[in-house]
Amino acid sequence: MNPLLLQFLTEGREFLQGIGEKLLQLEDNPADGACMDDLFRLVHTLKGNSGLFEVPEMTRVLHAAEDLMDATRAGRVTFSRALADQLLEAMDFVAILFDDLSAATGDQLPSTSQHAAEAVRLGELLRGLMAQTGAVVSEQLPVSAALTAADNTTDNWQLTTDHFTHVPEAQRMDCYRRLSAGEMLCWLAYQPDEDCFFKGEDPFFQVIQLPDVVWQRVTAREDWAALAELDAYRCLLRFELIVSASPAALAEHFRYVPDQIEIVPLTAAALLVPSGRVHSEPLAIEFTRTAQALLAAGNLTALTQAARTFLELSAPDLWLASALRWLLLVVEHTPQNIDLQRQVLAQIGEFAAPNALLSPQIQNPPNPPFSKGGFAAAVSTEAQWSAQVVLEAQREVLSLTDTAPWLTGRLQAVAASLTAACASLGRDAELTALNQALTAAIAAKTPAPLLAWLDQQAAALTEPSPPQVASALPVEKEGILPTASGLLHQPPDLKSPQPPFSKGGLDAPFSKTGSAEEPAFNRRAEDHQISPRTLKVDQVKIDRLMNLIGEMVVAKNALPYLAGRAEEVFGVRELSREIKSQYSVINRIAEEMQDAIMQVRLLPVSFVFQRFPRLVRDLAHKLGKEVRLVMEGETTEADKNIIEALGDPLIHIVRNSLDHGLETPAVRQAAGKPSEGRLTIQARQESDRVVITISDDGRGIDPVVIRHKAYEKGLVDEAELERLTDQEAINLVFAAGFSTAETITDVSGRGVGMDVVRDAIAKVNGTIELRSTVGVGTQLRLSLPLSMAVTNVMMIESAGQRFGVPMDAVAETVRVPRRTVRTIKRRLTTVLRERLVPLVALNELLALEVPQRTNGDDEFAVLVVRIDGEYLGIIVDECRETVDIILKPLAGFLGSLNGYAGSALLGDGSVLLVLNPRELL
Amino acid sequence: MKRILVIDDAATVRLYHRGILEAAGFAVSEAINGLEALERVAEAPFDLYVVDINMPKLDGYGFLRELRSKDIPQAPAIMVSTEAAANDQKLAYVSGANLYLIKPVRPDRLLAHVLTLLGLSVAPRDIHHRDQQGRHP
Repeated sequence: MNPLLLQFLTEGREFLQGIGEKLLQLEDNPADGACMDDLFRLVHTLKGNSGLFEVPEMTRVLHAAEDLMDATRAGRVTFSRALADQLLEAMDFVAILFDDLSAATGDQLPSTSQHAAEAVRLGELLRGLMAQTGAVVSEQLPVSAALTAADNTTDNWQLTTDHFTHVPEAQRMDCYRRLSAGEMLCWLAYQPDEDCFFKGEDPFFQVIQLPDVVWQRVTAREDWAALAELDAYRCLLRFELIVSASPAALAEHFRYVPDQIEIVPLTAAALLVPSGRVHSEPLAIEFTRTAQALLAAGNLTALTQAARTFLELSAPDLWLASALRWLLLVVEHTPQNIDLQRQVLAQIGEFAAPNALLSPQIQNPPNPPFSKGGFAAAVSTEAQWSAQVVLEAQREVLSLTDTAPWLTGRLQAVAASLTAACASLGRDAELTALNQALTAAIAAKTPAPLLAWLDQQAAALTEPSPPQVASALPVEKEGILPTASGLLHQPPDLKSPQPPFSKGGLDAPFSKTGSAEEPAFNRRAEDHQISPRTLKVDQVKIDRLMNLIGEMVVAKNALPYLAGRAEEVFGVRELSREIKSQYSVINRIAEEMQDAIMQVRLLPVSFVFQRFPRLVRDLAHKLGKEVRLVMEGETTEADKNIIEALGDPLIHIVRNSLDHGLETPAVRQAAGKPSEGRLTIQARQESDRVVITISDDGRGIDPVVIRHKAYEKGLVDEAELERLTDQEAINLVFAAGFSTAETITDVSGRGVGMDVVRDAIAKVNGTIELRSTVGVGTQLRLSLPLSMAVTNVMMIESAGQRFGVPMDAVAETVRVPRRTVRTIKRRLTTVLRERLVPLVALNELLALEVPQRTNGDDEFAVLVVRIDGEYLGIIVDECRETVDIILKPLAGFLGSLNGYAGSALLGDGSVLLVLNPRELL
Repeated sequence: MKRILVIDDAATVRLYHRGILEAAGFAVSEAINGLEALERVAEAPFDLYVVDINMPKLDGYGFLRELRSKDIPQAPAIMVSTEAAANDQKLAYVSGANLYLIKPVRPDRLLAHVLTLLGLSVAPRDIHHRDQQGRHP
């Protein structure tokens, strides 16, 4: 992706985040002027940045948002929740566009025109908010006119290059003739709604009905799908036409679909884009100079003659030929339009010197290639234009009548600008007078002397300079401006290779660090000071590092295996020992590297927390509740996978809390609580775990209600009901198929219960605890590991296969003699340290039709695992060593397989399936 | 080599201006707000300033007022804004700007103005280019 776009997107996302935060802050405190200013600045900057790219949908919405914020800031519109809602929606829309743009491949921006209708809608809603207050005179332009205006203000020049280059030259020339004959032509783009066919619209008919179409084309907005998948009822067409009609007539013709069309009145200049094969043509420089001279002399006949001759010499498909044809056309049809003729000539001149934006103005002898022609080199039209703009701006500055304390500095800067403008025009002779004027102006503290000088010189300055003046100029100009800065009179050094960095000589009096110490890289040294200390790295790159270190860990594990083989199979003990010692070195490095990569993968929990202010606000609003959200410890860090796994469960918990936990203000007041509920989300690190608590001061969970529900749903029988403690009853909310909501709301009741939350947390080796006191509140405590990249598993064997079991779950391994295994209620059990432990055979769980083996003493190998505080023995054939592995979740068809945490590659290259005891049972 | 300071709080805009100016052969430094720009200036004044208006801490107007109050060689400043408001332009000139341009500035126009305000007729890049041509005709 183009780096500028990448930068724009990265920065833009931060802006969106900031805008969201500021809006929420403002809701709490609408009178916060500083916050309002910040918000405006963010929207304003984002809009400004978006103008660098051709995404009219984005600019349109942001422009409207900016106007609205400006009005709000100025007090013409009052800040309201509705306004915040609308702005947030607009920013969400911009985020969607960002996502579309991120998908860009290559340098081509993906088209976002499918969002055009939405952009128009949002833009109008935002502007509608401004109009509603009545204090603003709404400029209700017809939509098409507004669109045109917006397009024109953003990018005039993009219109010329992008909209017309695909119109064949012959057609454009035809348009040009018609335009110069006084006809009104418009460029029209019509992009029918995708489901327009269902609304009874007939885009083709609309287009065919247009009179006087000069040119037209129909394109598809996106690539057509394969025939089998093609949705023929989805309209993806885009019509572009050049029509001989007024914008008003076209707007009338398309009055039912104003949001789907763009109308731009054609101008002659916009059509004038030479195209064709670029091929360097040395004669072009000479031609340009001759032509410019002829044009200046007003000799159009000779100019036409010269152009015709040159055209005959050029191949017709060349860019140059195209430019010449345009020149002839312009001269023929609009002989009075000297500016346009100059413009075409300037383009040809630029073409001749493709690396120069300004055509050459070199008179000094050391540049033979450009002066041998003996033509009087003219200053390029761009340079003249620029100088004129600059001089005009200085006149305006000098016309200011204020007496600012910094007037002297301002005058010096104006003088510097004037000096530079003169120098760039090659009119250095006037500088002595300018310098005297500056001295006089500073002494008198008034711009008058400079203004007088400017008035005197302006006329002469804007004319192209006569060559003899320029060539008579001394190249060395030191001493011309004794009082003004040395910065300004370094002449363009044209005769010798410019030393790459000449800063030392210029800035020595001001630079604190001597230029000798930073010879060639002073710019970089300066940059260094503002370059950020943090790097933004694409997640994919870090994931790749993680995968690589994972493979490394696995590959390293092959070494002990190799050492074993060296000794046992090949009988070379010495080599075996060397491999082992090398292994310990590699092992250490790999571990450190793994640790370092883990550090990189750490993310702050704010990554997840940051969406809660908006979520809580929207939900509370929807439910008619008042909620204050308090977040603590947002900087607590954990592995990216853990943080990402937290997102959905936390949202679910917060939703539950708002929906079921916190009461409405009326209920709270009746209970003697403050009407505003409080939801606290707190994160902190406890040894190697991250603990997140979510607590509210709502109505709490009533164990009586839970017992009742659980019984109703058949989750517990009567006997159990009696035995359950209150805490155990509360924990029933985690049971599958339990939902306490009386009615399913669209906030939390989505058929997803707390069991799903618990499972999601358990998947990343986390635990969840629930405490609640009726009438006081509920607290959920999530405890998660800091990282889960490396899992320590115990290898076990059963029915001739190896499996892994995560060590987190393993409490102990024991040998249980067959005779101590009893059957109670048809379940196998044994007594372990005076505790009854249920037993299951792994082969049975995995549906392997093989009885579990025992060792020589007729003892079973039992792996005792702990699940939710309960102990359970799994009978296996054999327990083996523990290994560190990189656990990869099962993907594809195996992904839905229950009972497995994932798979891992072992040192000998075989695959180990890792069991998930919780799912298994 | 002419040194130009680009002052803008938006990294995108800084990158855009830097790209244009560096390609033309200028040495470009950046500052993210007026205060930082003043620090840069205190180290060594620049040959040209390209200044945004709306910035946190110290905006473009404030920066220019401070700059013009300093007893240092005064170099031209181009103020760049997204607004075409006449009032903004006047304020820019009062504060000490020498040119007021509307964003986004066309690359060739920005370059033309930069050359004019630096007293150059050709971009340094092209000088270099021609020198090489001159030596190897």
